[in-house]
This record gives sequence, structure tokens and C-alpha cells, in this order.
Amino acid sequence: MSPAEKDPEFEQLRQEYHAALGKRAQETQAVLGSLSTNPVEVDGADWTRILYIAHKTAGLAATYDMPHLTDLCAALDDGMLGFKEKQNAQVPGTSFQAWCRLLHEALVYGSQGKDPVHLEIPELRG
Amino acid sequence: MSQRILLAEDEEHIAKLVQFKLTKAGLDFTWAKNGLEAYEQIRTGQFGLVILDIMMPGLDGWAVVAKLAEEEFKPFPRILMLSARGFQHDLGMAAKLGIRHYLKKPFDPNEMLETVKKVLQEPMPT
Repeated sequence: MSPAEKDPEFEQLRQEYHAALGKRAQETQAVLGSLSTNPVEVDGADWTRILYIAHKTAGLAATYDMPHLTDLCAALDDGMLGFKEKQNAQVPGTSFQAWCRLLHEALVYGSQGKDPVHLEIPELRG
Repeated sequence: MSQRILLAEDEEHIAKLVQFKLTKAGLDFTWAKNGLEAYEQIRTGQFGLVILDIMMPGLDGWAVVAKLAEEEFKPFPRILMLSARGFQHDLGMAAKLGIRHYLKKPFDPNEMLETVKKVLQEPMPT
């Protein structure tokens, strides 16, 4: 990536993006909440939403100087997609819970404008 | 030859970033929030370049191009595909639909602008 744009308008966009990551963190928190009551079954809508959040976050985070967040979300996105395609079976709720938890923590960090470099890039095995 | 640009992208923050760069460069920019909206906008025939995200709800980027090709729509705009997944993943579709320009997300905004300017200099597809 080029050096950060020193443009107030670009900085405004960056701040808005951080706020959006905060909203995504709230969504992942809500999914984790429902998983805590029923961790075995993965709701299809929850799966789709988490995959979407991971995919979309992967597609922009690095542009706003959070490359590790991009890499982590890309690993979740590719891994979850690959898992589902290979397994063709119900994803274990405990695995999905772990991925959600990781995504949530990463988004919380990102919402503060910090790249979550302390979080390990997961290897999802399908 | 139309230099009007349509961005088809469901991620609002990517749209705002692209709008920021393109309008600052004096380029005419319109945003379609999903594939169906993009398809309808393209059919007005006013766009010389369509920046098309692949993963969108409903009609995805490939479906938009395929639909226009099937209808033998003219004037067919120049297309720049956007995707967070690797180009290798989409090579088959790109070859099948004659798409030559591809930008992987996350992108550097300056590189995105240079790519757009380069594609705009090419002749419109026949």
C-alpha cells in the first residue's frame, strides 16, 4: 500500500470505517450470544452473515492500514467456504463458535483503529 | 466515447473510497449498491466503464456480465472486476466472458485510480 493519504477527507473515511467495524463487532457478539445458548447447531443465516462479514472486512481493512486484519478475515473467509464445500455436512458448532470469537476480537481491535497483529491467522481444516 | 463510471459494490465503505478518489480526479462517478441496480444502470447505455464487484447479494458480478452478454447488449461497457478472492479462483469465468481487467481487494486507492485511467483509455468492447 502507498503511504497513508494525508487528506482530511480520507481520514474521515478511515474513521467511518473504524466505526463500521465496531458495528460488525456488535453483530458477531449477537451471533456468539445465540451460540452460547445452543452451541451445537449452526444457524444457516448466522453462518452466511459471519462469512459475509469476514469476506467484506478482508476486502478493505488493509487499505486502511490494517493488513493483518485483512489476512485474518481472508483466512476465515476462505477456510469457512472451503470447509463447507468439502465437508458437505453440518459444521460443528464449537468450531463455528471459535471462528466467531476470533472474528469478533479482531473486529473490536479494528474498530479502535488497531491492526490485531497479536491474533494468530487461523488454519481452518475442512 | 463515454467516460462515465459506474461502481457496482455492496460495501458502502469501498464505494465511498472509490468515490473519493474518482471525483477528486475529476471523473464522473455513479454508485449501484447491488447487481440488479448495476444491471439496470448499465442498460441505460451511459457508462463507459463499470467497476464490478463479484460477490454481491442477489445478482453477482459474473451474473451481471453474463446477462448483458446473453442479451448482446450494446454499447457494452469496459469492465473492471473487483474481488477479494484470488484471481485464480475466477480465471475460468473471466476467460469465458472475455473480461481482461481485474483488481484484487484490498486495493491501494492510488493504484485503483491508475488502473481506472488506463482502462478508460482503451477502446470500448465491440
